[in-house]
Amino acid sequence: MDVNIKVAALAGEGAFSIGNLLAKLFSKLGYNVIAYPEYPSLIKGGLNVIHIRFSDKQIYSPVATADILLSIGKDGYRYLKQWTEGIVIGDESVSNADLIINANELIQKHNLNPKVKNILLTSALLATLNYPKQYLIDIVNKMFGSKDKTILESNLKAVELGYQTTYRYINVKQIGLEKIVISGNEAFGLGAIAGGMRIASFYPMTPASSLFHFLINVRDKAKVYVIQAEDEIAAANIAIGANYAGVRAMTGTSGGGFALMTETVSMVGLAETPMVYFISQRVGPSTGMPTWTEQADLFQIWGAGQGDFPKIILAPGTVQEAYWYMGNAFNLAQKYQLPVFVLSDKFLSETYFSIDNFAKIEIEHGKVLYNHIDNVLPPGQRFLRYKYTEDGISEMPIPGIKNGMHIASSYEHMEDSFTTEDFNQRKMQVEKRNKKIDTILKNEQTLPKLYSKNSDKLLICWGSQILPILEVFDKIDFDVMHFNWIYPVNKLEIEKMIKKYEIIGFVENNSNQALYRFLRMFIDINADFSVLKYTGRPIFPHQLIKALNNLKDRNYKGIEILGEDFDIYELYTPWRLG
Amino acid sequence: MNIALINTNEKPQWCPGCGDFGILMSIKTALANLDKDPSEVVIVSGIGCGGKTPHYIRTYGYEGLHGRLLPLALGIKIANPDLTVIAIGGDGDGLSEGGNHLLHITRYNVDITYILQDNQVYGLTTGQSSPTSRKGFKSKTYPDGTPIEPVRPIPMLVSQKASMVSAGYAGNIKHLSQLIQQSIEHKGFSYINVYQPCVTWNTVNGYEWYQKRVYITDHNPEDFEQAWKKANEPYDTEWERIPIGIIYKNNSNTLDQEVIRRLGGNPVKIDKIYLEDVLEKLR
Repeated sequence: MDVNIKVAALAGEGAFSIGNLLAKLFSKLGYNVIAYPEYPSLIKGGLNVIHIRFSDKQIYSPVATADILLSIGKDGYRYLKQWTEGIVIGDESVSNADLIINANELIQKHNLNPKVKNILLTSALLATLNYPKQYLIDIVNKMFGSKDKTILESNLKAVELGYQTTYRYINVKQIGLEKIVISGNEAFGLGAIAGGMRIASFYPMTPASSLFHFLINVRDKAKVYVIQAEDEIAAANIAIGANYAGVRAMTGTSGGGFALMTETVSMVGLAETPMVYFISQRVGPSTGMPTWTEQADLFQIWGAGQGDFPKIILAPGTVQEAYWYMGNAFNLAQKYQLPVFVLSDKFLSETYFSIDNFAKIEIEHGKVLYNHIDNVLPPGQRFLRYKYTEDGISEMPIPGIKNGMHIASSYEHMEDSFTTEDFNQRKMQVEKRNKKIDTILKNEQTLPKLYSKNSDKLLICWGSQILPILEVFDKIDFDVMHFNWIYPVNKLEIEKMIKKYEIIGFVENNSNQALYRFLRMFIDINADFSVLKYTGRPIFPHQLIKALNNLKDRNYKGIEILGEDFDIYELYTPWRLG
Repeated sequence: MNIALINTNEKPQWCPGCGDFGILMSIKTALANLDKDPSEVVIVSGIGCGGKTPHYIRTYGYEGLHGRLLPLALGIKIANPDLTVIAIGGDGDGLSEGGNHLLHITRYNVDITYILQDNQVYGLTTGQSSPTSRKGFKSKTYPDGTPIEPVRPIPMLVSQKASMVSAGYAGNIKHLSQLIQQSIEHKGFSYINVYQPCVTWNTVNGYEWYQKRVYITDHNPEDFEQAWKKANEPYDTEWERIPIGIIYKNNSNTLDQEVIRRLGGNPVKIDKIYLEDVLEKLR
């Protein structure tokens, strides 16, 4: 079973609440669930659509078409009918719907609160799937139980009325244990909590904000404190201060906000302060299309900061990886005392997936000293915070530890942290910091993840675009290499891995071939082709199949640029709705 | 604490006669009087001549970025509220580059002390006008005299009802060190605007000029009306009278204590992971 439902309504009319409720309900039966929201940068007006997919098989990506369209108001029908292969359910304003639920009339007749309309329509939709009514009643009780009794009763009555629908589309049933449904940003948040993060500071920016909203929502259980700073520069500095004081902290933003944070990257690079930046990419340049997805900021992240210093860049692609890499980012930051970037994009950040297991993350502090220091510091001297070492990493006492006094400095410094302009010391400090790259490559799992079927053809991707590829993995004759670890690049090992492939292609959600151009700085690689999409939406599975077929006809050479199947300009441009 | 414990082997590299020497001595004296262990103090600075202060006091320190010392200090303080956190930087650092942070630090009311070294000129970048340069001040930027008005940090902070606002003078170490001590002891954000001569780039506002004008105020700093009058006195008198001392003071809850309350302890001492508790809530 593999069912796709689209729920559409004008912004502010509750399409996402319905979508999230449906995702939770299907997951209760043990199905794998994906819920992918699309919306314009507006609070009222414009069309909000949430794509819900549930299946008894492993699923990875939303698809473009739908089996059921629930249209609240006529606009969803008007623009999504052409994407719907199955039935259309609508309220009375959708006169062409296959199944019209007279929600407004029923509400009036039974004297119910008008706000129950969405519960009524959801119930009708669930009735067509023969979904167990009791589960919905349980959730409605949970949602409205603590409120005014008449509101709860009104909602329960709406469930009854909705379930009077007699049309049956399919029969769903309990197929396994309930799974947790979380968005990518929630997975990043859970990873941060598992990684011992205690303080988060941010300035609101889509699509990173919802990570912080999640943390705020669970802050008392998680024991985390979230601060909304006056700007991104302050947000980064607050987290840096906390990390310096020994408390794991992070900030997060998107490309535009990160432009402001950039000066701090270089500072922690030189001061060797552990720091974690979460960056969820969206469509640029500049303000771009704020609520849509793209992977075009790799060079901004990699190039951020004047001067020459090591950093780590990670780009997880699934919710499992989002959790795991975010949690470990705090270990990496402390072990190597440098900035760590965890990249996402709107597609991964805001899409909901089911997940059933969270691996334990072991906390590692590396050479950050939390306990006492035995050696007494002679009068007038400082702790050798930037001591030259074999692995490039020096001990870092946190403030409050006796005999550890030193300065974290944005100026070049000597071993004892005092500012220097001595050329030899400068050279040695650069070399000390650069040694960390080799240490990281030696100690960490830095290789891309290979999905192999022993093909002689290879697809390479990064971040979220592994999802549509995994969706079609069984249908294509390609091995897949996913760069979830981006930098530092393990030149020798990766060159060994790619050597055996006759054909190499890249799949990226951008126009600048960011990953391909990036890898060419470090490894000997020549791509035969690229599949690119930069409309603002992720690559859909059927598009990838079609693109690979087209490429096959020309011996897998060249660039295949994907668009959308029809012009959706009007769909998200509210002043054209009317 | 013996002041020798926070001395460093390095000698300060400031121009002879620079106001920074007096400020450095005042901070050291205040810390010695407060009997703080050097390991429990963090001095945070930005960029500028005065930004080098952490190098000459043997405590913990962070010499951060131009204008960004306040959020950095805030992060340190809320991570470990047991620490004494002092931020120090110049008027260019705090009022130009970091102006937005100064506006907002009063809202957080985090328990740190901020010493702003106000010499009305850019020193380290060799003599441009600064945000507190008075109208008419001749500089590299405006050789014919600065044509624009200065910002008014003390009235701004008083109008924001910052927890404690003071003015000090680098030429009166005894008074300044007492002010710093009181500011550290005060629970809440405390700001000290220290008037200091720049002997190299500002030949107008020298020691002699200040000596004639500064006086120790004895008004009631908890009375807002009186505080407002004193805060504006230098501007109202065309800089003929410059009050120093505590200008305004109030008591209100601090962010660092709020963090402790919310997390149930000092963040740096919490090492338990609460993932299971959160997953429980999601299920």
